[in-house]
Amino acid sequence: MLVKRVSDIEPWVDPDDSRWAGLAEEVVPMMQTPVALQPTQYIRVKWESLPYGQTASISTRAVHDGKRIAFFCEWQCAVEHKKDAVAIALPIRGQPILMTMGSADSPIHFLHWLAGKPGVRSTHSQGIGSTQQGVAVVADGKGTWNDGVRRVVITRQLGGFIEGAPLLAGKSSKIGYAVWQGANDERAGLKSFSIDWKPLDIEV
Amino acid sequence: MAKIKRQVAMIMDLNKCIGCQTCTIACKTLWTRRKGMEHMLWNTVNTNPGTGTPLNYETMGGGFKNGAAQPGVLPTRKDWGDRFDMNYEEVFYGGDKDKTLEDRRGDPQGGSNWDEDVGEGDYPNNYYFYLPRICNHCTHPACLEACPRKAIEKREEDGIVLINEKKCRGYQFCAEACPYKKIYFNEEEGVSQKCIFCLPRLQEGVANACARQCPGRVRFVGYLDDPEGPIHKLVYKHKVALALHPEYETQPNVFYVPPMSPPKIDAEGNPTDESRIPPEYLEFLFGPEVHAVMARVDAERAKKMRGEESELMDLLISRKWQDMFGPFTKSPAEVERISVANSDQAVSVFDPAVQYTPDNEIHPVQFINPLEDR
Repeated sequence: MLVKRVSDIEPWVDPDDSRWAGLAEEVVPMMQTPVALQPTQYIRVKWESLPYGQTASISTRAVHDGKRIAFFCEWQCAVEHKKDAVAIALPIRGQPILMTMGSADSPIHFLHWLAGKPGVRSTHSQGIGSTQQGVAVVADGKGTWNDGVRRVVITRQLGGFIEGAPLLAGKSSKIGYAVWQGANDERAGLKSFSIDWKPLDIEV
Repeated sequence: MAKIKRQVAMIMDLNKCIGCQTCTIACKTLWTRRKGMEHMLWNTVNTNPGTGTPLNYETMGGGFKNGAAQPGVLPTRKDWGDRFDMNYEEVFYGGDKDKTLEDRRGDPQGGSNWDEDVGEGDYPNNYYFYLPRICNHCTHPACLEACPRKAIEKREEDGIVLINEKKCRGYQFCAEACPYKKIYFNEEEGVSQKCIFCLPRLQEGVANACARQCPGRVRFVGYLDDPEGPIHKLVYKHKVALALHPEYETQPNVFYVPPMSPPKIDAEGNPTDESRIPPEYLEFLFGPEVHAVMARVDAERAKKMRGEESELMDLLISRKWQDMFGPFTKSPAEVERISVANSDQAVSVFDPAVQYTPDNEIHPVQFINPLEDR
């Protein structure tokens, strides 16, 4: 995905702002996290025959203004719920595997938006079930729901951080996504996720 | 899960419980006064047979079968009964003498001990008894195994099961997996919460608030491996204390002395040999071993009635209140209040006192029940 440079990011923080529709979308196919990878026997037993992670795709766009970057995510969400959520994944270093949520050598930084809570949560993962509070980063999130469609914009400052994913103008990185449908009781590892990393090229 | 060095346990003698809910209030006033805890009763007492708390919890799944985790249902706040919102001010201070107490939410459809004193059977053979319940601090805790965050810990020192609120993300798999449905959710704080077996009190040698406050001397507290203590004697030596629903396979560390039953009355009003509480109902609650337990208690009671010695009956009678609490015999008044700043890891797991204080200043840990004066 190409992250276009804009003069001022402020109007873009609104997910319903018409500017987003004028930007080319990248549709990212999603899949259910495998039940075998759920971290406890209880979750595997409970959910092995229940549908979850059925969000087929997520429409994504992004812009930056040299100081902040805004990620736009849109997906089908039939029933609005306070536990609807989306997370963007960014590699901190190394070559982390998205499906297994990174490793000690190759951790992943997540920015996690939850409908029922203000802002976004910064988390840090070194493998399945290892998610911890992440580095303090200037980030925010705003979401809307209209007629079965969820739209969320997650913003973050550009730059490099210790234990935070570097995002710099003129540089490339990778991005992944996860979506939780709150009305289906999806939480923790019960989600749909982008199968692999997508390139993220940030305009100068 | 770390190997447990010792296990604290509780025994409740159901022959003594009068359903007064003093235990419930002792717990409520001590532990669940924070915002978001209004609906919580870590200790409940229900009329049995009955629907229980949360309503119909015995049908909600969870636990294990042949060692395999079983799917469970998450109780809703409606299942718990939510918090009653009574119009006390209106009745007591409103000036209208005809105003009566009512729930301001309208017509409540459930609540803790909702079917109080209903029981089963037809007069004169109707029957019921009270069943107090807390978290069972299980040896094989389904909650702990279900949590993807590893936020639930079973303490090596005493086997108490605690939720680490710093790790908990409020996913509530624990509450689904617990077959006893003893885990609540604090929506204000986004975390699951439950009975902590009065850990800060035990650490100071003070028995659980629910046990000390019980006017019926229902509850014994102590270590399972203490041969001189009441717990070991009742569970292992005399074998009269059983876990509730052992078929859930979580190996609870709260045990019950099953209730003895009056006889059924025949049409002429004479007692029969048949028990009024159906033995099959007790078997449903406590497993097939209950019949042998009842026989042992009956035999010991008969000995006592003949004037013979019976250690079991002496234990159950509990003439000396303090004999019921193993090593936890201190009065709360004897204990110096500990400050949060000096608290050890166990206390800091949940820091109740920190969150009690609206101004977020460091205050002494309030582990003494304000109602407790003995």
